[in-house]
Amino acid sequence: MLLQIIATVFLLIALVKAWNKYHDKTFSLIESSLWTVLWLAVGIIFWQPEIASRLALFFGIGRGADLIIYVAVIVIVYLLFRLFVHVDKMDRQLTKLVRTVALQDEKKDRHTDSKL
Amino acid sequence: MSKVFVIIPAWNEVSRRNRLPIALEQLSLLPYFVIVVDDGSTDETARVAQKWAKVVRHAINRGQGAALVTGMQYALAQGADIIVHFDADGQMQPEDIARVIAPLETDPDLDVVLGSRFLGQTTQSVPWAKKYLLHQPALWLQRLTTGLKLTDVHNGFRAFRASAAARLDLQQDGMAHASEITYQIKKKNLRYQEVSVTIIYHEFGQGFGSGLRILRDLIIRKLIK
Repeated sequence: MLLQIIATVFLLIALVKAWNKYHDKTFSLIESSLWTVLWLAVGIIFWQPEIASRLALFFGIGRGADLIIYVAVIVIVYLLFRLFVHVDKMDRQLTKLVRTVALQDEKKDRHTDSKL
Repeated sequence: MSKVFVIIPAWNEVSRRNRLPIALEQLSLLPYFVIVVDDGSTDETARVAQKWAKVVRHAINRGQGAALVTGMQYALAQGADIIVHFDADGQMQPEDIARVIAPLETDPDLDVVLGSRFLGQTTQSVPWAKKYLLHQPALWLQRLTTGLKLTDVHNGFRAFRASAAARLDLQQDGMAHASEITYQIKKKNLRYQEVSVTIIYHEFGQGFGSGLRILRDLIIRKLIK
């Protein structure tokens, strides 16, 4: 009972944060809604763990906890992949920037040289 | 007389091997425009290279592939006719540049000349472990993935006609750029030819670890595509 109450408190704080971020334009409507769905799902599982068990049986998995772990792993791997893609893109943009600066600097040096 | 630009990517060459100044001094006697791309060195590489060559500086280290592309862009903007890739570690011979660009000057349909250690004359010995454990499988893998029948894989000695260099779209910043180049030669149907060059090993060049890293980079890029 205590654990569920603590979890609910954290949940509500997280929900409030998610919607604050929407209000100050950090999160889009979709992002805030997704987080809401996530936290509500977490809350439901905490208060009615049998739901996880029933879902698990529906998918042919032994325990509710197992189902949650499997889903979590898939989500994490997906997010990691997205992260990889993002970092790779940033890497390439950084190189483009460094190149632009390098060639600009070179042009500046040339002008300075020719002025001498 | 073609305008030949020699691009040399360099990173901390003075504190590590210090063969770059020797190469630059030799190159200064030859009729080429030498461009050293200092890839964010933290030592005196840029200052030393400036005595002999034009230096273009990356503010931070981005990788040999990135440095080559910067050098090539600069060369193309300067009206290069031929662009040569040359290593900073003293393994390549400046005299070989003439051999590598000769086919481009005689055959107007040729786009790329690739240096090879294993054509005709052999060079000073390649460390045997490298040759049989790394090189043969790599050759085979390259033929499989790019379809190019080359005798040497990852030989950094290359010469491009400017028009061919302009058609390259290289995205690999790290050492995987070598594989990307051969892949694009095949994909863009560039006419290529191999020429024998002498590579002198002063010490072990690429470690096994970096070979694995190259593989990893290529796989990640393939997955993302």
